[in-house]
Amino acid sequence: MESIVGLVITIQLQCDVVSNTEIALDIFDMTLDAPEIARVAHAGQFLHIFNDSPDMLLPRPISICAIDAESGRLRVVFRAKGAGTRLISRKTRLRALGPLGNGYDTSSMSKKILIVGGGLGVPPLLELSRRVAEPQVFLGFRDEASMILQNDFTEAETATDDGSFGFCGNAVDLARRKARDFDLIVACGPKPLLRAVAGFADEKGVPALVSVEERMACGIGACVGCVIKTKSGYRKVCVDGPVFRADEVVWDD
Amino acid sequence: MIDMSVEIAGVRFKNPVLTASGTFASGREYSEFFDLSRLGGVVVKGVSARPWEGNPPPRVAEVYGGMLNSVGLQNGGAERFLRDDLPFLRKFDTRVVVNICGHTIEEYAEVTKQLQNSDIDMLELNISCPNVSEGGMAFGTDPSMTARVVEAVAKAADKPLIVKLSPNVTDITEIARAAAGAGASALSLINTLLGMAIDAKTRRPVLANGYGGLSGPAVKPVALRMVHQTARAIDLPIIGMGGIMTGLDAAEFLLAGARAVAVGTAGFNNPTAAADVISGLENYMEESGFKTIPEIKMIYN
Repeated sequence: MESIVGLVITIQLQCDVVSNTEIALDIFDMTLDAPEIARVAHAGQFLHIFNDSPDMLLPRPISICAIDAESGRLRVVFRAKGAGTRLISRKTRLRALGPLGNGYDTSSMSKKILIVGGGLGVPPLLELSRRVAEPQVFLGFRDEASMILQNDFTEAETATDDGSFGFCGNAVDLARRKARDFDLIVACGPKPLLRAVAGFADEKGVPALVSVEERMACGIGACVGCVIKTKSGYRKVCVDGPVFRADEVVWDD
Repeated sequence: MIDMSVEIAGVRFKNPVLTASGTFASGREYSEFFDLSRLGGVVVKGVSARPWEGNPPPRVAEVYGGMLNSVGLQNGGAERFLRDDLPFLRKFDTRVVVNICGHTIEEYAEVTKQLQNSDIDMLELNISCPNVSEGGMAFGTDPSMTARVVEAVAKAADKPLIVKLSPNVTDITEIARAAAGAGASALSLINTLLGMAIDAKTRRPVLANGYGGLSGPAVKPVALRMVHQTARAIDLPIIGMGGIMTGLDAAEFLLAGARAVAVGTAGFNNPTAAADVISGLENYMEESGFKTIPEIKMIYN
């Protein structure tokens, strides 16, 4: 009988919060000292962050915004929406589990990538934009006050729903008007935006990768809590995603 | 020297800590975080005769001191379990208990037959899942239905049978007695408590299914009470569970009359929870001067 511990690619650790800034109302830009995770993380993956508060058991899945493997630091940008994320936003040290999820396989990605992000879907696209050559980036926000990270991208065009900054409309509307030649769309944002991206990709006859969200528990594929409906049945967002091919997702529910 | 081993229906477990069905899949995911050979046993996620799709999302919701789930026993079926999961689990020095589920007595019997002659240690009959419309809890909340399904499965089973009980009943000892009379070799309790979460802002239920099973520390007092009641009423070994987060929680269940315990939801808060519970229980035994698990008994005045 042998004793086996699987290949360790997911790490749980206590990490220091190196910096933390509220960059828009209730939106925090936090840097964590998490070398073991930073060393193995890919763009598009996420962390589980724990509150360690006895009344709140479940971790909060938060996407990784930027990875610096050399300094061992991870940047996360999240909204303090409920009691759990609010508590996390006040911590100076926290417990994290990661990297989780499939992320983007940037090595196999083509050359002409269109990146479309909406609101709190923008953060995981930042690291992606740095790992691919000259992506075209279109970002959308509710209004000027809720804009985040637009200056962190080398080049990005911005839309707001109310027209208070840039193009008036969403990021897909903007991409429709402005995008030049592309052969892959990568998108993250609210479900209506992703659905629109799926339609846009279909029209253009190009594949699209979307990062989706669902209420989640374990984060490692064991509890089967965080599924989304796909053409091949319910699939787990935590391990089969969060990145899915847009034409695999069943959007009409 | 502390001996943590226990025996349940003729099966020896190296320690009394198992994983709770549905929270641990078939162990693969957690094997990244600790050596599964540390566990007394792995109780795998519910297996049915054929694949089950499960319920629509959202399937989970956090609530005060716990969570609700309405996964609906999504699983790939017995054939896939035997092909993909069992060989993996068998690499570890731990007992394998297979939780089985069905919509009808025939389906329960069918999956039991599919598992005949397989390299597993015990079966756990799930008649207490609150998240399936047919079968599940419907069997576990009625003594005569409990007796019928237990009898059918016990007849088809070539391994000792644990019956997992629902807390969503007026008198759990009545169901326990029916299971014992129909051929159960052991009992496990509690399954989740039927609950609900509502989002006041959207004015909708949080779970797509409306209701779901409550688990986590919030249910521990109910679980302890039911284990205690059942242990006093029925002469079968009990695997106690419900909100165990620490070794001390596990000790409380043993004091209540359980012979072993299972750790479930705690694993979502900490992937090494089950292993930590084992260490914590060992510390408790050391500090309290217990040399064996059966010595852990309550004091009544």
